[in-house]
Amino acid sequence: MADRFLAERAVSVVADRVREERRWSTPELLAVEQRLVTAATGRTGEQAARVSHQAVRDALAAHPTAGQDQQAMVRDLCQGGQGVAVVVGRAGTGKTFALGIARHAWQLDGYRLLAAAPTGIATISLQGEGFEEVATCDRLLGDLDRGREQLDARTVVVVDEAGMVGSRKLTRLLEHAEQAQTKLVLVGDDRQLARSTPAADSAPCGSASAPQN
Amino acid sequence: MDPDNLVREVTGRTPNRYQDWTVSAETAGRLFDRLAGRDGLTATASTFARPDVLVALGAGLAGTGRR
Repeated sequence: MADRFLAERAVSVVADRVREERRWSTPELLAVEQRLVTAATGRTGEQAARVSHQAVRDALAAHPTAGQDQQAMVRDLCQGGQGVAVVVGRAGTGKTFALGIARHAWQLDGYRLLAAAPTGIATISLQGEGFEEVATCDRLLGDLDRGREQLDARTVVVVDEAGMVGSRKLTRLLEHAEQAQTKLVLVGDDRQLARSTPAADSAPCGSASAPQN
Repeated sequence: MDPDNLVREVTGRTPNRYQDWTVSAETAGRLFDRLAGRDGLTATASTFARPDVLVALGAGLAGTGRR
């Protein structure tokens, strides 16, 4: 019966070479992830949330310890213009610190910053980098769905630890951002994948639970 | 000792040794639909392995009518 299910309802996607185990997914989730990729790549030609050279210079000057990589990341995020920007890097490489500098540059040019992360603990790191409006992804999505939160072209949404956010939630967030022409910045470690425990549907609270896919 | 009598005395039930354990196409279809849906095997992970399917099928069939 398991083999029948795999043959009729699943799609073989990858083989785990270490465990010598084939992995499968479902057409439903693959369609969601295709929409996610299409929504992200479809916004590459925008001029979303572009910051002046002066604002970037001022923000970098206020953070003299930023390394070359971090400065390049700030320039790319703030002046690249992509509707959806993706930053990938290992844990501990200073992504969140550089995000804080980018936050500074955007704010110098009058943009509103909304930051989110999949867990309460991750939102605390964002608060430490000067983000004032911070929420868990569940909370932000809930507020957007209910109309309690409004996005626009002068807002930048930053999602830290985005690799821990499930595909379905990320797709919903992308759809909200696309409708409002809001720049969305996804930051994460591609070796860190979404875990399997349900998320706390709450504001930052120090919870370490991870979201549903 | 007759094992069936023993089971009947202890549990009050009569074991049915000829029960048909075949899962009907309708039951299997409903279960497959659920497992392939957003609340199924990909509710909390993007991928799954064959053992995950076995566990989910077992959990899905436990206590359900087989016909």
